[in-house]
Amino acid sequence: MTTGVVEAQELTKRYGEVLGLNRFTSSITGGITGLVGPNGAGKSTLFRLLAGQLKADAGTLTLLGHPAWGEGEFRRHVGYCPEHSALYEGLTGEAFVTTLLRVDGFSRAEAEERALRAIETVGLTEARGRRLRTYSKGMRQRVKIAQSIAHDPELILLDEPLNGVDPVGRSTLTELLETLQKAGRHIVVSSHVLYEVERLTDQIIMISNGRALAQGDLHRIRALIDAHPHVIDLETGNPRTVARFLGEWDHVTAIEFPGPGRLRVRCRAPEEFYRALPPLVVRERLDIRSLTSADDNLDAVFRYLSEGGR
Amino acid sequence: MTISAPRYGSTSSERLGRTRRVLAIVRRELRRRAGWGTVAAVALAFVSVAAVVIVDAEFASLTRTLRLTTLEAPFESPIWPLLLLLVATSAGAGALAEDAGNRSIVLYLSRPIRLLDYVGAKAIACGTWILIAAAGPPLTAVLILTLLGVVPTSIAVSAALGYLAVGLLATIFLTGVALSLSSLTSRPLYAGVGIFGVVLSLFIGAAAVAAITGNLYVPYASPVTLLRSVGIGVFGGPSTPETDPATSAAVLAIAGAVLGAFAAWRASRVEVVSE
Amino acid sequence: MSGELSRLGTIAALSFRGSLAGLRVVGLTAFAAIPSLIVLALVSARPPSGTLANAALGLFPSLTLPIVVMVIVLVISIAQFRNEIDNETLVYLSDRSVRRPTIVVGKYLGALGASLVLVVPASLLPLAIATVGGGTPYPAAVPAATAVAAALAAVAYVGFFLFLGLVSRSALVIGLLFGFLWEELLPLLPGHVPQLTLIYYLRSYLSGTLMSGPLSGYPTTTPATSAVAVLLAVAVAFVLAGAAVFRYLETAPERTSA
Repeated sequence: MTTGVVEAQELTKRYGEVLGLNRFTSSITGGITGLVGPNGAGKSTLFRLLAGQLKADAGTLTLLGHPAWGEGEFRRHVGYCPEHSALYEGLTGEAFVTTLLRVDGFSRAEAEERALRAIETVGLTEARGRRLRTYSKGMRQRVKIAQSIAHDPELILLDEPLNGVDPVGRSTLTELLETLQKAGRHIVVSSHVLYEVERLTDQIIMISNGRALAQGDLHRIRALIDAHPHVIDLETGNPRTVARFLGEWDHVTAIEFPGPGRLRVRCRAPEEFYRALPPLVVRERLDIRSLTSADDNLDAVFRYLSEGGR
Repeated sequence: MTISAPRYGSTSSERLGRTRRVLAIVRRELRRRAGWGTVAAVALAFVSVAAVVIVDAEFASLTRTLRLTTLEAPFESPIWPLLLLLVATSAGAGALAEDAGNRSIVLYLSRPIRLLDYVGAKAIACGTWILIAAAGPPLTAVLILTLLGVVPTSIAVSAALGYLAVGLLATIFLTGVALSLSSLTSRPLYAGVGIFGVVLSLFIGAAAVAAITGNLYVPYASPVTLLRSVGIGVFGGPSTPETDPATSAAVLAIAGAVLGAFAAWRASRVEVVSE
Repeated sequence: MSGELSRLGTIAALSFRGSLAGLRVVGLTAFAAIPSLIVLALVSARPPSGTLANAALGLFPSLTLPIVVMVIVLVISIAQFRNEIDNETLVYLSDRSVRRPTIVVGKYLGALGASLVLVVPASLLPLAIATVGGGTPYPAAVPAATAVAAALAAVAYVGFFLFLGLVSRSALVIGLLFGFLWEELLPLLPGHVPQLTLIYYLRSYLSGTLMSGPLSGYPTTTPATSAVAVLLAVAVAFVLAGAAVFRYLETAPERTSA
């Protein structure tokens, strides 16, 4: 039974002898989901399968309960922003979005109105009358996003949408995605730049070598890797005292003293650590000035998972 | 994935000479142009042109003494120039257009090679395929006929030299056409269609204008007519060439060189704009 | 939401504009002008009026139809799907809620419109130049027949080349083989072999429509109406085949990595 907005079961896609996706299984339930992995991991293959450009060699893939391969009215509820920057170069930005809305079945008046709105949303109002061949890379990304949201789809697929966008544009687009999410839209966004996705969402799918390595909340994934010690750096006025208390906890596997006033703790259950630390600090009046997780970021998790997955 | 910071330092490796660098591009281009279209066109040229020469010579040997003129058959047939155009299209249309389209021209020209080396290497690779299709089939046919004892060795040698000369001329001209049209676009499709369109239009157009006006210089505008005249001139008949063979050869060679130079000039003007 | 016809019109307009955009239209227009330039050259030689008229008309079956029309239609039609698949713009249409056969028909109509804009003037202008330049005026049926023949050629060839561009990555080479070997050499063969070419039906139409002049007298057993029916049927068949194939066709460009 399919429950998610995107469901992939044992999805396999080959390019000759190269495996694009290898028994990829995942379920995307809603909100913003980040698809992360290095170049060549299979992200774009998955997006092409979702867009109906490619047909899976094995397995099943559904969008909003419909098979991804082939045509269908359900695509009215899906918006797709491809990774590549090819456009209909002879059209203006406005004509591009309007034309695609007309192809989607909107009347001329409504298509023009929606196109203007989408173009304004991505901040291209001033450039809307220019031909696409004159657009910069960042502007191309924006107009692609405009066409993917102009028809107000339920599910938006964005393949590397922040690629080539300047920092201000990134911030605007990040806010846009958050607004769309609040409006009840489901968004699947891919990136090989891990911190980009980390800023957008905690819900991630990690993909490498065509396989889903892990899926879910970033911190949960991190916590699941209990075999991989989680590194936490503490700054404290009395490292030895703090170390004495922490050393009594079962999930703390090692304590190091990297420098004066600093403590590095390796533990297997970070969530338990974070839960237990505040009461300890209060009870024992410990002087802890800062607490940072050295590798509690997507990069570290991904590196660990992909290395472990091989 | 771990990314390490690169370590910089001076290296003193020996660099290969200019000829070796050009040959590296030629080798790559030869393989790259060996698509099924090129191979099919060359194969078709071998089968059809060689068959024409062999059948013609066999019939001639039954009825009369075999002379050099008997082996002129390829230049009378419309198949020979059509197949050469097809090979030029398949092997040459993408020579510069593809590199401009996918911007790999930047990678080539960022290396320590001259523009002339780059265009020259492309011309050698494209020309090799055209030469194989132009001279290969009749040479093979004459070799078979010699081995069968149909053609005396002295005539065979003369014919082989003649095929090579006409084939080389066709190669120079068609390579120039292919590269010049390929340099005008980033899409091989347009260059390929242009090769056919321009050469055939000149052939038919010049024939029509010459027929009406009676102007003796108009046929010089048709490369197919010029090649035919050179072929007839080299093999000594039997039909009368429409244009003077020596002048025709000069026109083809000069046109090929000028078109090649135009391609080099165009390549030097390429601006690769990223999206 | 408006209907499928509106979507069809949008796709046709998009294809039409795309076909006649940029430098491509300059090149194609220059190519379409070749017969006219040749007739201008003939006019400058001041031949007898009858000779000029016949020569200009004679260019139609020898140059305009088999080469100029062929090349223009080949370039426009193959580009419809091949270019869009290669640079991945096709996904903007194929991931919409439009039916895939609508995309094929829309692209066919757009390519046909763009082809007609170029091939009909290419067939009529030489005749007009010859008449203005002192050639014997043609009966009205002659320019009408040449224009219809050019249009019929576009109708049939656009269908075939569009299909070719959809199904083959080597559409150009196959198209050239078809256009300049199949269509040129098979009509020279005896028996019913010429009936396997489209040019046979185009010449049959001209021969059946015009009773005299360079366009008549083609040895054919096919009446003009049957020839037209065959050409239309070929176009419909290839558009239908294209629509059927496109439903099951992967439209991402060929690649070896994910």
